[in-house]
Amino acid sequence: MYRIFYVELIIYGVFFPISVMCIRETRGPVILRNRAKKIRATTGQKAYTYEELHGPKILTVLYVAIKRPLYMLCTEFVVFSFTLWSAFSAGLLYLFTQSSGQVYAGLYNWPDYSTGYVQGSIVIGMVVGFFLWWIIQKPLYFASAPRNKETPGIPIPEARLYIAIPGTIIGMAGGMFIYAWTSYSSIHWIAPTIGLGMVGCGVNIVVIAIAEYVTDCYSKFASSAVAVVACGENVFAAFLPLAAASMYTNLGFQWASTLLAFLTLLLSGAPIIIFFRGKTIRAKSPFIQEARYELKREEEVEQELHAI
Amino acid sequence: MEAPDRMIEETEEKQQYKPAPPSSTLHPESLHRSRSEEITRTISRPRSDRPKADDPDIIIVDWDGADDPDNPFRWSLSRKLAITAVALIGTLLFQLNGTSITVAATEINEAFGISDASFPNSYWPVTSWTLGGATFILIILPLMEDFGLKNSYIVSMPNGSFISKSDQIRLPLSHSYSSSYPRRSQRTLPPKLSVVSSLAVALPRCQTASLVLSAISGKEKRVEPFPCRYGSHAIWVAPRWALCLAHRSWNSWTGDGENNEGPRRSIR
Repeated sequence: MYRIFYVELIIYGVFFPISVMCIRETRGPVILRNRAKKIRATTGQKAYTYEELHGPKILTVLYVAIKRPLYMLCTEFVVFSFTLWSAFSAGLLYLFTQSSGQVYAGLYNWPDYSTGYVQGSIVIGMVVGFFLWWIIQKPLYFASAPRNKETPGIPIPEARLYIAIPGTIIGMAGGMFIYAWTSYSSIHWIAPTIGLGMVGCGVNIVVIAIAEYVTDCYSKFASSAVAVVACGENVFAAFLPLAAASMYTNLGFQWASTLLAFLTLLLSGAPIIIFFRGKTIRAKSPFIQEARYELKREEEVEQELHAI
Repeated sequence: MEAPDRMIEETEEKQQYKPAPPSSTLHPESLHRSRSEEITRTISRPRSDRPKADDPDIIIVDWDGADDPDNPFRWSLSRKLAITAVALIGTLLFQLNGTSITVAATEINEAFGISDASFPNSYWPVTSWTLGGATFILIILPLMEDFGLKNSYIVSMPNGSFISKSDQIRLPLSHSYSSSYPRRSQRTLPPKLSVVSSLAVALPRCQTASLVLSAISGKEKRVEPFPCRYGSHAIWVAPRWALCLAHRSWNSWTGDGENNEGPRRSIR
C-alpha cells in the first residue's frame, strides 16, 4: 500500500507552492546584488555592489566556513565539550527509534507500529521540557544581570546553564535509569515510558541551553560554533543508533540503558566544569575575547550616538 | 541622518583597520568592508570575471538610507513572521521523512531482503539522511550565503534531506538576520520568535515523525515510505536508490528470488 507515499506527497505538494510564494530573499547582500543586476539591465550603467567588486571568492568563503568550525572544535574547550554533550543527547533520541522497538517488542510483544506510539512520550517530555525552560530558566537568566561583575547590566552567559545541569542529571540520566530498571515484562509498560518522557524532557532542555550558551559566548562566531555543534549532533545521530541493537542484545535491556545513563552522567561533567570555571575558560579563549571586544565597541559607539 | 548601523560599522572599522583617517564622510563602500576583510585574509588574487574596482564609471549599489523598505532589517513584523512561520512548518514537515522510515523497518527489510538480526541494517537510510544534514551544515550552508537563501531553499526543497533538519533551518534565519549584527538582530527578530524557533529546533525530531507515521499506518501492516523518499529527494537519495536497485538486480541475477521485489510494487 502506498499510503505513506500519498500522504507525504500531498503534504509536500501543498506546502511547496505556499513556501515558494511566502519565502523572500532575506540575505541583504543578495538583495542588493539583484538590485544592481536590474540597474545594469535597464539603464546600462555599471552598477555593482561592494561585495561584487571586493568580496571574497566563493572558494575562500567555503574554505573559511569549513576550517573555522573544525579549528574551534579542536582548540576550544567549550565547543568541544558541548559538541560531545549535545551530540550524545541528540544521538540518544535517534537511538530510541531503534531501542524502543526492540525493548517493547521484546517485553510486551508489541507490533512495530505501536512502538512508534511509545515515542510519543518523548514528544510530551520535550514539550514539558520546553515549558520548564520557559518558566524557570528564562527568569533565572535575566535575574543574573545585576550579579555580573565582568560586564554589568548584561546577564552572565553561564546563567544559561542553570536548568541544564539538573536537566542532564535528573532528566536524562535519571530517565535512563528508570527506563533501564523498569524494563521487565512484569512491570506495566507505562513505567519505562515515563522514563523515556523524562529523557525527552532533559534532552530538550540541554539542546536549547547549549544553543543559547554557545550563541551567547561566541556572538560573532556563533554560526561557526553552532555549525560544529549541529554537525556533531548529526554525526552521532547517524552512527550511535547503529550500536543500539547489539548493545541491547548483548548487555540486556537493563544494563544497556544503564551504560547510556552512566555516559550521560559522565558528560554532565562538561556543563558543571563550565558552570564553575566558565569565566576563566572564556577569558582564555581567543574567539570569545574577540567577539566580546566587538560587542563592547558596538555598545560604546551606540551610547555615543545616543549622546549626540 | 545616516543609519546607526553604518556609523557603527564605520567607526569600528576605522579603529580596527585604518588608525586615523581625518575625513568623517561616510562612504557606502565602508559598509561591508570589515566583514569581507575578515574573510579575505587568505585571498591571493582577484576574481577574473569581476569588474575592475577602479573603473571610474562604476556605481556602488547600496541601501537607500536607513529606512530602505527592501532591507530585511526594516521589514514589517508580519512579513518576518510569515517567513519564519513557513520555515518552521517546513522544518516540521521535512523532519517527517527522516526517521519515519524506522517504523517500517520490518517491511523494508522484507522488500530488500535484508536482516536486522546481526546488525540494524534498516537504519542505514537514516544514517545517510543525517550525514546529509552534517554535510549541509559545513558545506552547503556557507554557500547559501552567497547564492541567496530563497533560491537555495527552493532548489533544496524537493531534495528534502538537506533543508529538512531543523537546526539548519534556524541557521539560515539567524545568518540572515544576525551574522554581522548579533546584538541588533535580537532587537530586529521579535523576541518571541526566537523562542518559537528554539521550540521548533527541539520538538520535531524523530519521535514526532515516528508518532505520525504510526498514526497513519495504524493497524495496516504494509508501510511503504520508500517510493516517496525517492520521489521527493531525487538528488540526495539518488545514489542510495541506485544502490538499492543494484542490490535488487543482484538478487535476481543470483537467483535469490524470494525477496527481490524492489520498492515499486504494484498498487494493491
